[in-house]
Amino acid sequence: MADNTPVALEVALLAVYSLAILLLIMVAYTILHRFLSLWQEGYAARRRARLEEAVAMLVAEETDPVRFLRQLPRADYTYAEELLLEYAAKFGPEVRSRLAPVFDATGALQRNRRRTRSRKWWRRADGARRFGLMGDANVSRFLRPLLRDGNVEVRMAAGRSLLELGATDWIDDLVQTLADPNLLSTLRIADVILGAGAQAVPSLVDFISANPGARGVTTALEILGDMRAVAASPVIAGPLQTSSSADVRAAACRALGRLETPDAVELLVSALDDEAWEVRAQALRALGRIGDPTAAPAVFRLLAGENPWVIFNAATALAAMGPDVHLQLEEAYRRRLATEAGAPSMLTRVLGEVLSPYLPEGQVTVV
Amino acid sequence: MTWWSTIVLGYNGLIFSYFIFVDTFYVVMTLLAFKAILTHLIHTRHVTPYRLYQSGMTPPISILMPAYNEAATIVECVRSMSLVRYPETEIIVINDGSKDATLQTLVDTFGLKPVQRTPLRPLSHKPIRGTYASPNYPNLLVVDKVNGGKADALNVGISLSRCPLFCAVDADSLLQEDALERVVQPFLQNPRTVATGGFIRVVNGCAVHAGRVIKVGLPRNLVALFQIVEYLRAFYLGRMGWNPTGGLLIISGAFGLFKTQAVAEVGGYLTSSVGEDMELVVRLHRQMAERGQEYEVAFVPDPVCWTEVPESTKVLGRQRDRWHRGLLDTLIRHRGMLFRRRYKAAGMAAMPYFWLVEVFGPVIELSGYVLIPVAAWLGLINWFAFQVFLALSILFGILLSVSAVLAEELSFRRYRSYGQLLALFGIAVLENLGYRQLTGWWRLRGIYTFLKGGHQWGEMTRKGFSKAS
Amino acid sequence: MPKVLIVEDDPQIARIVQIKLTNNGFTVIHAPDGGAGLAAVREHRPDLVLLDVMMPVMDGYQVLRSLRAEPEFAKLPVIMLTAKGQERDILHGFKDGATDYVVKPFSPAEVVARVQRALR
Repeated sequence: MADNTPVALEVALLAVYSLAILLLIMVAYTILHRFLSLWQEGYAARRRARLEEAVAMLVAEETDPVRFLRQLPRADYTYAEELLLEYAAKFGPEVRSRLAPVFDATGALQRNRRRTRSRKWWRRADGARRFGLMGDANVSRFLRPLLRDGNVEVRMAAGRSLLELGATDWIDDLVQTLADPNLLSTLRIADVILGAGAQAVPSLVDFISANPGARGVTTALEILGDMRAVAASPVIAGPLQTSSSADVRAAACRALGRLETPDAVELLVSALDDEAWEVRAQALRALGRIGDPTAAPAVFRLLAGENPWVIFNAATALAAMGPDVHLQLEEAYRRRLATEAGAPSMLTRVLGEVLSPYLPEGQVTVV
Repeated sequence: MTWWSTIVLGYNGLIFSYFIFVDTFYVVMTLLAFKAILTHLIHTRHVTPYRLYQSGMTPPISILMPAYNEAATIVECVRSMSLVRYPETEIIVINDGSKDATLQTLVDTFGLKPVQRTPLRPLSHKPIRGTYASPNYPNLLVVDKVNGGKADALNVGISLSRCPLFCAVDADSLLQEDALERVVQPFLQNPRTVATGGFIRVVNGCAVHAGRVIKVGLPRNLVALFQIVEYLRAFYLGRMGWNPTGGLLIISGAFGLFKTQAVAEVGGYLTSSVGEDMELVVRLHRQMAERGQEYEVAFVPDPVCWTEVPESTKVLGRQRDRWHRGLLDTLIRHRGMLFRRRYKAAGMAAMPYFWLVEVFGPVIELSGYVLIPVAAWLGLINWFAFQVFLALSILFGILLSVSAVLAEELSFRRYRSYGQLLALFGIAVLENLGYRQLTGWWRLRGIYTFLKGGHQWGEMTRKGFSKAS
Repeated sequence: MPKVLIVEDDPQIARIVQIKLTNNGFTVIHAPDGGAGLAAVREHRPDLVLLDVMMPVMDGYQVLRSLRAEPEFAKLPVIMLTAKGQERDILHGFKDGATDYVVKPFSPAEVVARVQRALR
């Protein structure tokens, strides 16, 4: 504004006009967007509402697929597909196999084939998901190539769908993708593998023994633990003793804790001397889970350590090892209370917490 | 020309160039934000719903809830937190020496008993008077401590936390059911993530039942209504725009998720700061960069936290005054980061932005409201030019708010009716005629109180959430 | 005719279960959320309740606990409809006094069978 030459003013005025026009366009666009999306939703809802009763009758086995198809206008095919997929997701395999011929007859399978060949990953993932709900085991040949897709969402949707269809020979392919550096992807793939249950154990065992240093090994170990795959326990010992990554060793401890096999205790006790405190802490947690009192002497040693988490986990583990160990722990606590003057040490407080978390009425700890 | 007219004219020129610079900057941020929103939308719309809560491999989260005189809402807040879907959480309520019945209400409602709990990450803080828990609610821990402010209360929470991540929430906010499982995702995608923040929305005007927002609405109160658009703008354009640059300096104290170990290592929250939430994030940026560690601070737009905003200008004024003092305090403490390449976007872009736009913005804007008419009155510039300038400045303000409303329309569309949409547009226009100047004035007052050395908190009076009819 | 109340927020699931149960000789009442479900129990006094876990307003466990707190409904058979893979939820349900549970996605025939068994 310093030089109010006409040119500068003119430019400013032009800016005012164009801003005003831009604003009007944005407001109009927003309202139009709202109008169109609400209209579209409303239209789809009306079309669906007309189909709802007929589809419910089909799902509840009141009408048979042939009669249903005869009454279904061609224009409603895509709406019927959406609706049937919703029902398929909510009810089990019997309902799905009942709906399979309808999906076939209304061209849903063909439309879905096109989805899985799309260049947009989310359309491929959507196609893979739909195939799983269509209840037709023949589509697994379209799903298998999607397991090698570049996008994790597509791989995962394909894996889950194959699982829904009852196929299992693909698990090996999916386990290999656990090596993905993105933890979120591996977690989601893990979810699918977990769903496959015991059939996945051989693939996971092969994966771990083939590349014990690979990225996905931690996740593979977690899955084996979650599945309580007792047969896999000898394989878990490998990474626990040889892996250079503390994460992998800690995961091996967690897995052993869930398996609760007798040889796990011995392995976990040897892990109590691990140089990484995370591994010691996880080994203690696992021992607490198993609760075998023969490990108690080794665990008592760790109460004298430095790291608060190791001390805490050691005390918790001991408290879970049955009445005899519990008595010893109480004894140790009383001795410490008697010898310590003034403020209690971290260990004493941890012991107090573990032995009796709830204080008698009116007694409050002051820090 | 006299010397004073040269000064007035020069200053007007300064204001004008400042205006052009800042608005260009805003346009760039808005474009960045829109790009980020659209990519994010593809994910939320097309990715099958997350089922993280089934895998059992997600890191447990401690929810830390400092409470000071919150007897009216505290129970509802705890209930709301326990409804949040996540595999493993512990809720730690820290009663920061309340003068009302906050502790007693909790003890009575949840049947709490005194317990022992050892701090495993000891930070220094005011003494703890007692810890309470209940066998019926195994995930709940209530800590009673001597009053020491929000930062001190959070440090107590960190000391007692047993989880690798902690989520700091205000005792007057409600988390959406899926908020945690979404806000945790950056931690899973990139293990180097140290902090993430979510979207804060205004709960005033919404129907709340049993700790959940069941119907989104607009408040009747004008002050709260202005803040709705203001929050939309701050989160859609501000946070979303900064996020991809790596220079996100603010994670709201009302809802943020942090790596507990990383925060404990930098010493927790700073009790001497009025803006402890921003200070912590800036300190994390600083220390991680100085240690040469790779790290990430991320914003995730769809985890929603509903918070109650002040409905009177008096309380709001105190809040803004405090925010501005907090901002100044953080910027001055960490002035060493300004224009240092070592701190990347945080030092090179975000810090200069906060100084220039957030701190001095209100000074320049308000002085412009005085000096430009003066210049016109003195005949140094003509009235028409003044009007054009004013129109430009107001239109630009509207543009930013309208962009935020458009972003909301394209993405989550929480305000469902046309009436609400039109009301938001109305507010986008109206806020430039008074509200904007008022917030500028409060910030100016914040600078003044800061320079005077005031560090008090403004108190907020709660009326409790409105019940669903 | 035995009376069954289904408390379920998903209208499609409620509809299918309703059709199946009606065909097997039950009278079916539907309530769309926990609060309405509790009111319907008091009003219609059903012989059995099918109770969804994840519902707005009041979840299944809250409804179950409120029912068990009232002596006249302490023995009312309640079958929970839980989501897949939530072992913790199932245990939680039994602790609160559920009679049985069905895991979603379920087969409509299975629900009928479990209702019949629970009423036998």
